Amino acid sequence: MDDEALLERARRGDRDAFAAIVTRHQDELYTMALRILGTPADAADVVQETFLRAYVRIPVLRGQTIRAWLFRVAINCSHDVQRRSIRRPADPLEDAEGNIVELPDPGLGPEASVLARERIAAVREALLTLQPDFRAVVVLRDVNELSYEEMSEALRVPIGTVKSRLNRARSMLAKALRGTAAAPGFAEEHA
Amino acid sequence: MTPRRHLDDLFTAAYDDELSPIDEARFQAHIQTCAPCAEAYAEFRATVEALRELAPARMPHIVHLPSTPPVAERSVRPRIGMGWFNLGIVRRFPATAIAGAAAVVLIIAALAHGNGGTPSPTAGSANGQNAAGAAAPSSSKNLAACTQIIGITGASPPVTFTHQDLATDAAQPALHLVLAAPSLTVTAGKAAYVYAQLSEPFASLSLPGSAATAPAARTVLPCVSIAVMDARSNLFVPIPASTGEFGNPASPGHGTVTPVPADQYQGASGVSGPFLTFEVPAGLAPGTEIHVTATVPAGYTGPGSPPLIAELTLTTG
Repeated sequence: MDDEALLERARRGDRDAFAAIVTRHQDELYTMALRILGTPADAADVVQETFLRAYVRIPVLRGQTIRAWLFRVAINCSHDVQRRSIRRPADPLEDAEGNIVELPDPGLGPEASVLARERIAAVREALLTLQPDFRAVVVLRDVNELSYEEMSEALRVPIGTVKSRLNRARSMLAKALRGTAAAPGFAEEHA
Repeated sequence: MTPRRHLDDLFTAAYDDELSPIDEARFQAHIQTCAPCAEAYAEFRATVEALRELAPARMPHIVHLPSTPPVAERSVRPRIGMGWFNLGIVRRFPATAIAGAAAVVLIIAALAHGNGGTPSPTAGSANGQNAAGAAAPSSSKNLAACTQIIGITGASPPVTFTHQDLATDAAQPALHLVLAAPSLTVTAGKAAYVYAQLSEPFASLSLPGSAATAPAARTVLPCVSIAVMDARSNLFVPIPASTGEFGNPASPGHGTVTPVPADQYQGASGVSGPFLTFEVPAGLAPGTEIHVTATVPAGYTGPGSPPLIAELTLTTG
């Protein structure tokens, strides 16, 4: 059953249909929030709040794809968290349950594994140096792989603005990565 | 002039295969002959591909939903309590409890009949007239949410309302939901003002096949809810009586949030528009957050009926 059908059922009071929407989208929203905020606990809070907001707004939710709308709400929630967040010490490699959320390819040798881990850390840190608007656009496109149309809906800006903002964000990110420990050999590996 | 300055703008289009064949050929030709540009583009590509290598993350715990069906959330008087969650969840995930309370706060009330009557010179009084018309049917008291539309005179936020949140629909760029305030700082115990308006292209409301007419804006009051952070519980709770229907004195919950004549709000005498006022509760500590949320009325049948949401966070000074 597609999102629209689930949404229609949820709008009529079907809680299970809404739960199915949650199941379908919670991980991608969590991934986005984690990349924007860098803190698993905050990211989980954002997802929770996003779905609670969606739950009470289901009756007025029409004319827009639920996926783009959820991303928009999650972005707004993330910005709220950024504005009032009290920095919590957290290891971004661990999620709220203490599990490692990303590890280098286990097939890599020890040295390559270290390099890969450094590269992942460098990318994450560089991402966090971007301004919120630029961080959001690059995460939506390159992490969550939203279409330009979905990004336009989620960010509430025209597609042309999405593209120009994305180009600037990617360029800024490349510049930020240039000065990191992971930079040597970085481009060559991916070119 | 460095070649890179010219190609920077094309990197995303090139990477996403969105260049025209001619531009693509030119881009590739330049890259092959210009070492700085080739290096910069390789770095650009490496950055994007490194981003795409970041592993997808998984939500570490389940999302907790209210036990009530979604449509049950339309009630005018939202109830906030531990009944929404089991206590174990609250203990384990206090942030979840806060999010749940915030969600309750977002429950929107209100709106009365949009009788489509003659607009008055000021939106405030226009609301009043519509409100009077809407108050008459007893059924209006049974409205559980913003299910009816109040037509108002369209306007723009005055220049003094510099703090604005504008929600638009990409598919309907003329459709605007705007929420504005003259300041994000309010004073406990005193009135505060916000401006809230939903406008839409009137032409798109006409029946298919009807004679084409020049587009004219139609403007209605959005649903607005106001909630304050409670310092002791760390929860957002609605300001008492702030979830009623704007402009409908007969509506349950109507009280402190009302449209006001344009010349009664501070510092903008003579400017018309849908101004809404509410009393900031006395005794709030400085720095207390007050969330104002405007949404499209549930009964709205305009183009797309999009889930536009505009929000402002006010803080007590």
